[in-house]
Amino acid sequence: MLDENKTFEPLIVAFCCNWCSYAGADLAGTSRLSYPPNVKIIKVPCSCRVDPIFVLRAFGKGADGVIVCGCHPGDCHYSTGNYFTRRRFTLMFNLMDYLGIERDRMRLEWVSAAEATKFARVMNEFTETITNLGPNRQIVDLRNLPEGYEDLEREPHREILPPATDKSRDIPSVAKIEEQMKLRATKLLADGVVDRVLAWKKGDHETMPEPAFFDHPGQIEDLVYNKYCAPNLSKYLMNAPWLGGKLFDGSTLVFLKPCDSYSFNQLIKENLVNTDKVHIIGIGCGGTVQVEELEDAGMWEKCQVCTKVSHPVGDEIIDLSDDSPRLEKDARFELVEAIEALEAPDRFAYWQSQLSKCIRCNACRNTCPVCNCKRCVFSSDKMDMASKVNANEFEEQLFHIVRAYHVAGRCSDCGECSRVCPQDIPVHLLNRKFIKDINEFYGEYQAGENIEAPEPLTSYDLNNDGQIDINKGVRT
Amino acid sequence: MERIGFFVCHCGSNIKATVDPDVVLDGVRGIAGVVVAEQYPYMCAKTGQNMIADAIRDNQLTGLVVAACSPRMHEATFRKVAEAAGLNPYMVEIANIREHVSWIHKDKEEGSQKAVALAKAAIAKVKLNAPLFPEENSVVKRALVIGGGIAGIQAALDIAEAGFEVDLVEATPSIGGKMAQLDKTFPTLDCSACILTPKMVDAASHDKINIMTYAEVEKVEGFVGNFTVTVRKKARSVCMEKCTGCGDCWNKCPVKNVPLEFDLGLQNRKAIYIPFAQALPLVPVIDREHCIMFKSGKCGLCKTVCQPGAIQFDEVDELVEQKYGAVITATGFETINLDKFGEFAYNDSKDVITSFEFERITHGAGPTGGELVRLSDGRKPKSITFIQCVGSRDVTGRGKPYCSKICCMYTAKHAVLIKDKYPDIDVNVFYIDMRTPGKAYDEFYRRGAEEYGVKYIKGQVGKVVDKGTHLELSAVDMLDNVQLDLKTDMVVLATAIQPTASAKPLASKLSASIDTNNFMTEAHVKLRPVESPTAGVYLAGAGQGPKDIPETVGQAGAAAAKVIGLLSKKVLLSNPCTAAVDPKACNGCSLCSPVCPYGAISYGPMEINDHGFKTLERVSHVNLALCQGCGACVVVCPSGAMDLQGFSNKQLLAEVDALC
Repeated sequence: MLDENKTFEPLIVAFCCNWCSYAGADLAGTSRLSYPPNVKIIKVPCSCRVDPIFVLRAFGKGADGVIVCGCHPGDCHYSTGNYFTRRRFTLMFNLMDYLGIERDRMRLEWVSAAEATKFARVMNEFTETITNLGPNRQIVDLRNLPEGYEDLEREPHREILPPATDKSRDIPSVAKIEEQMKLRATKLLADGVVDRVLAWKKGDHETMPEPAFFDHPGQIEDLVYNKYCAPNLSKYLMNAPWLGGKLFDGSTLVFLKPCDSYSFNQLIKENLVNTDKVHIIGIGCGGTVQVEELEDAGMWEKCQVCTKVSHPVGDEIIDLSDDSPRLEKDARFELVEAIEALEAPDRFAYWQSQLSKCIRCNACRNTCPVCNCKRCVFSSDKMDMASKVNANEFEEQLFHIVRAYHVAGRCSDCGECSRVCPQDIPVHLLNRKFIKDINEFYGEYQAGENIEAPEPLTSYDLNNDGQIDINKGVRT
Repeated sequence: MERIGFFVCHCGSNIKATVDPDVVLDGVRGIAGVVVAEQYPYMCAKTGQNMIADAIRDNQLTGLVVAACSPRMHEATFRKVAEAAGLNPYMVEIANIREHVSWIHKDKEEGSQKAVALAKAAIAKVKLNAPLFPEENSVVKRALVIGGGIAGIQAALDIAEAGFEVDLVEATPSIGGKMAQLDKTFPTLDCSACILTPKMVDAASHDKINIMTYAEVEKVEGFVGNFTVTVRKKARSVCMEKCTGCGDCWNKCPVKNVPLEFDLGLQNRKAIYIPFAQALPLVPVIDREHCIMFKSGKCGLCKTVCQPGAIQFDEVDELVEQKYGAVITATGFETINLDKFGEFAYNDSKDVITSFEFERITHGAGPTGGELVRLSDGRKPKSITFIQCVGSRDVTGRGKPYCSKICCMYTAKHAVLIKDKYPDIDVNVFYIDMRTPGKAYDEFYRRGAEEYGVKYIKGQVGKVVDKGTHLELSAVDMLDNVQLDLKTDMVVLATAIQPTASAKPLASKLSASIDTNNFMTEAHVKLRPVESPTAGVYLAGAGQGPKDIPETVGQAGAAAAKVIGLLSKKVLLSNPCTAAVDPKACNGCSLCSPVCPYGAISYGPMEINDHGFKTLERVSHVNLALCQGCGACVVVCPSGAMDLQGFSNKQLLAEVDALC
């Protein structure tokens, strides 16, 4: 092993901000301070220009270490750029750690234009660290099934995570809610207050209700509301033409469960729904259940740990479920903690076993309320990635990581991504890791709760953020 | 198809010694699109430039890569060459193989291979470059000078003399700054006031200079050529137009015990006061913290005696907004606090003073009327000991790591002045190193030591104890390597200087950078020493680094020349490396606006034509005049609708791919 390391010459990519670190590297040259030639510098105008995608790409293409260098906080040439860099990479590095990828392979350092000595020292240290770590194989391997973990493929949840306990709380009032929904829908349609109703209708089987539009009172008898009505309706209301919003002339009545209303409120925040054209009725929910072979198979994990009982947005409320049991404590992060508690190789194997099942059907992306881009980066030629078709394996490795990063700070934890996954990949546990870290590092934040609140990744708090060790991912 | 020209510079032996140009050329020759691959000893020299220009014309190059020194050195040079030869200047990329390769790597093989890698990355990037065209912006023909010391006064005068309007903002009630507090100046020993006050009068009476004293910069918006600055003119409580400066008010004011800042607290002033007799404007200020009228509502004596009726107790702060093309910061310095240097007994003894306090004591208008006496008992000292580097070149963490630069010379001045007037006083100077570079400086210091009998002792003082009638010093003479126990009557500390407290907040308002010691950073230490990295912001005086009067005046003149050059331009070309939105991909989610430090992003409806299907959509819009090209918005944009010209997603990913 040691002998192998001696001949191993790592490839290290350094993203350096033009104003500080790149100039610091120049000064290291001018001062003839040496550091290993393994380090190759890419100039960026500001550390905030470094997209975590670039870092992933470098790893995916064979880099053994990636370092991002920027101005010291407070010294950004653009005043605030590095404050965003700091939050982005703190969270991103933590996610990589959560995926079981050695976090020592990535680093963020503040190097001023004057700190030539520091630049050379950091590069010497980093090269030594990477040399000792050996070649990077992990990210490239993330989507391949790990050896010795074949049995994980079938029942990965059961093996690694605590067994799901059915905390199903089938509330008797759901039938009454459905009754009132029908009454209100019929009346609002008949009175011409709304032009259509968005709700669920009977599917092929009673366990398969599906989202549907109702255009006149006569159709309302098909409206159903029961414990199988899991699909989040909020995204159907986007007035975005690229998602069919152009069809929405007139006004729409929509029924939103508590979790759906958080998603909807987030869409209001992102200016993607026209609230003038929507009449919202918040409805009570007692949790939804998953179905296997037309039989109840226990409550969805997302519902078991759901603490959302109120509606942050709504014109009316129909909630008769006050008698239903509510979770007293937020147990959302138990699974995240269970994964965090694993040793790094096991974490890696776990995620490898999960992500290797992905068939890139895009169901998670299509159902996610905040995956609302007109053109996804995975459909955009701008990022050299192709849509749907798997242009190359590398793209595959990035998809879930990039998607989790793109919804970080915006995800309301509705859990739809995992619910719709035909391969049972617990995608939402990536999003929830971000939520957990955001809460811990930057204060409790619930996307969709308050549309005025600044989002964690587009804001900063100087007193707080400096206390977090970016490279270790802990509060100092 | 791209037609890329690639050139390797030897930089004499600077590059060639550790990077083999032939290896670099071999490394890129096979790359698709590279049609020219040449080398030359000095690409930046005229012959090298011509070589590039000829290649651009002869081969109809669509892109140019120069593997040479840092782009911070010569990117601009090669862009000009490209432009003159008909290639858009933004089709040029630099592979930095000097600072980042040849100067740091000793092994020629390794160095050459790294140079090849960097060259490949630059070629990969240049293939994706797009021609960029700068925007033209107008220039407001008015300058703002912040700080009314000698630096600010000189800069304002020079700009005004060139015919441009200048606003000079000063925080204290009068212009003049530190130089007004000084008695004599080295190395000529001419009176400071005699050379400063005429300049103050020139500035105050110049029809192009508008002086705002007792005022501070509140807010800065905009960019080079078009800054909008809000200045807070603090309520003076005295009408500038009506006041004649007669002095009746401050003579009658019953509040007598406020330490006079100008005299470093060695003398008291009234609640309504002028800081010194030659103050400009000669209009007093009411210090509301100490004025009885403001504290209890009873007094108003000044108003009673003021014949022109200039006193206005109800005056409030005034916010003045003005547009400027350029800004000069000249915020100057202050001495550090000596609380952490207990060994010198500064806080315990009246006879341990700083050099600036000494300056006031020897000043004819100072607290002792120019009489050199001990502040404790008014006795004339028989011996005076100067201690150098108090808090300068400090490695203990209590002071400053840098040399304060002016102390050796002003101490030499003080020593000579004492000896000249009172030859019987013994003068000892403890120093670490004497640093006297400068015209006629070393001669001056030597004259003190050799002709006036000033005793210079290389060594540090470990302890000063006030014994009432005298002070006792424990010190080491490092040349004779002996312990010294001295008695002296007065100790003068050459206290380290630091930028004024206002420098840091001002820098953040201007988006200008400061270094770890809060000195303003220059755009280039050697080649752009009077410019801040923020376009349109210039630096003068000790706020940029310790410096004496001649240097300060020289730098102020240089900054003024830069400002005059800027204001003389008809239009300014903006950096075209700005963010740009692809409206077809933007969904108006509004994530980008909160991260923009310049408020350059707004949202509005735009007609989108998607394959003939037209819709009106809310999309992001970037104000190119405000965007500085940081890229924060690009990274928060999940769809890639926002991109940065010159550093696009594709370009940076191409660089990553080329390196990996």
